[in-house]
Amino acid sequence: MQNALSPDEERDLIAEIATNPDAFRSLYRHYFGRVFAYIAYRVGRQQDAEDVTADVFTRVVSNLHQFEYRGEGSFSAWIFRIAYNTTQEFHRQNQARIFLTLEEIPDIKGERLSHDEALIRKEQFARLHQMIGTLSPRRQEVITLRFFGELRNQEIAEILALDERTVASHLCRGLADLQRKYQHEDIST
Amino acid sequence: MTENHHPDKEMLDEIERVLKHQASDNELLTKLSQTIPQARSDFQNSLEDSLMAQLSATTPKTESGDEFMKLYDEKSKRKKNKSSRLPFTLVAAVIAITLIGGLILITSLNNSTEPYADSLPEGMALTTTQLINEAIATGGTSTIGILQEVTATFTPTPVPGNFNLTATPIANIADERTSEDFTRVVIALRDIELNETITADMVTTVQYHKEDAWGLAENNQGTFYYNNEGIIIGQRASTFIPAHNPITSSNITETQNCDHEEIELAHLGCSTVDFGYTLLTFNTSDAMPLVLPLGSRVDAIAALQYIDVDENSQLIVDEDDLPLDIVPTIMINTIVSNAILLNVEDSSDTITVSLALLARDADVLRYMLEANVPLRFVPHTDYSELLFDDGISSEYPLTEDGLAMVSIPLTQVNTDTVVNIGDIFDIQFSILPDEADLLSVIPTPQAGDVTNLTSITPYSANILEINDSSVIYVGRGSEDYPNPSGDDSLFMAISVNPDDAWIVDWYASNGANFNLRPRN
Repeated sequence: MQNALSPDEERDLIAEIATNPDAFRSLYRHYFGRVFAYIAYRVGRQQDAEDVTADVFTRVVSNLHQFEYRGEGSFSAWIFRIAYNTTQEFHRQNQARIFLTLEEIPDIKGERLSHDEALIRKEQFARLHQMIGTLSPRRQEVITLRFFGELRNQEIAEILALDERTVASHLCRGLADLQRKYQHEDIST
Repeated sequence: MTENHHPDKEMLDEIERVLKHQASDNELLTKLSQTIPQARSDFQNSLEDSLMAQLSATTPKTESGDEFMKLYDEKSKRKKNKSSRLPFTLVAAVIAITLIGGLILITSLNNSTEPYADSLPEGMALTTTQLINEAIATGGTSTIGILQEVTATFTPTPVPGNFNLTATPIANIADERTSEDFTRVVIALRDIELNETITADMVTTVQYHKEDAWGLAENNQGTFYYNNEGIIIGQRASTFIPAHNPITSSNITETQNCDHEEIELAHLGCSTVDFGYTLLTFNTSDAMPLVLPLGSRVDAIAALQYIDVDENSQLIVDEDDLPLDIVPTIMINTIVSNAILLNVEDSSDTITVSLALLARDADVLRYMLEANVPLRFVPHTDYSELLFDDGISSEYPLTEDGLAMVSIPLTQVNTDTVVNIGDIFDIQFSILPDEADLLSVIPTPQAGDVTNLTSITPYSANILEINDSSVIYVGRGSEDYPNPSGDDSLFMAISVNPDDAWIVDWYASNGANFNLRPRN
């Protein structure tokens, strides 16, 4: 259901919403998958991810009239800023769930996965989610925004109010940390 | 440093490839790309339907003439200060809480849930709950010591953004509202330049739909909008304010711009400060400024103690005034960053500090001081400035846990407790400045010093934090733990993450002080 949008198309859609609310549908489909994936990695449980995602998009719709288009990337930064804040709120209100049961894990993207392959990927998700959760909060955010929000470092820098180089460094150091933990736990087996 | 010279460029390129669904030899990156969560399609569809219904319900508003979507006019070259969001939201919380919180608390204790709008300062309309949320939304823990939350017994409760306190009666305009749905908002009649003092002919009030007015604070990174221009006149623009735009508290400052000479204190010789800085002199009980070199960059850290009054508000409190059965939440946060320590005077009962700082930071600090929020002053933190500096290539012995061992002279270690091998500490360390070649020149300018520096802007410091570091060795050195100085001075060996070893070592070798806090 995720559709690709060029920056120009995105800008036109944002402007069009004022007269044609249906224009939002394309934006929603464009961003939904990335927002959900980011949130799912941040909160773990599928049910929580759905709740937070619904909250995020409800806020997006409620505040659309306040959004100011500032060029390419501004809308995605705005949406993910809301997603980031909403996720932060979730973590303040809820105990972190480090360990997940199989039933709690969201489905994993993949075409024509066999039942066994799907289960293996879910287990991999659970372990990676757990390992990412051991990183510093900043590195957790940077890695999940980059990989699952599919944001550029510049956009992440804007969301987290960091220097772009700092984002790059957190990303690389966070992944290096993760790599060590990954090898240590021998997740590949 | 450009991206081309980035030491991690290879990794960044690899990430780029993986995100473009290209094959990668990096197993971890491949696994990450293979474990992207996917929502149930029925959830996605039902949410979409719900959102579209919500959106359709709000659309008629646009047909009645309200502006719905504001496309950015690039020609307006609107300027905003990104970095001051946190301090200003914090001060908003403080103002909101200190000014109205007490009344809310009293009301709450009397089993009434209606806050009194009259308790607001005249002419100021607050989006209290949004501000508190914003202030709190930046919470969390950080390995670089920017922010940490402590003892969270009462967790701040997120609140809806319609906690309406805009109905502030303003003496001279109270009856001019045309509808309960609208409120007055002060806007700029013409472009107002940075640092321009605002006069009556520059501003006016217009009617704003309340919902849009509420959005001003959030959208414009400000915290208040104003419904009486009288309160703004005489203040100074702390940002460029485009014509016809609402003026929020993030756009103006009460602090007047000091003349250059006023900041340029004699004891700093030829030092100057950046344009736009202002001077603030105040009393503090924190003794830290006494030991910091004059001219150094400092941050102010506030310890905000608050309790949840009800689901809509929090109240900053003094712990001594609290009933025993109520435990406040403490939030420690950097509220002023990168100020310049100009002067410190120590009298018998108080310490007087002069800082050069950005005007809006001065406002924040002044509000904090007025609210009696406990403040600490520490060397400035700017983690990013060190990230790509030299010094990463050193090798360090690894512990059995795979951690790196780094030695620190005990003369540079500060702690309130006895240090034993095996103890676990959080370690905070800092140094002034961050450029080694300035070390011999800068640290403590004294009256009459002759220096070639024409500006103290290169001053910068970094304060970092390492959590859960174990003490491996304390002594004068042994075969297993050779003394890094090559003499018989006391030193301490600690274990740190190998990635962080070079930073710790760099600081240690440049004379940084390390503050140890036992980890419970």
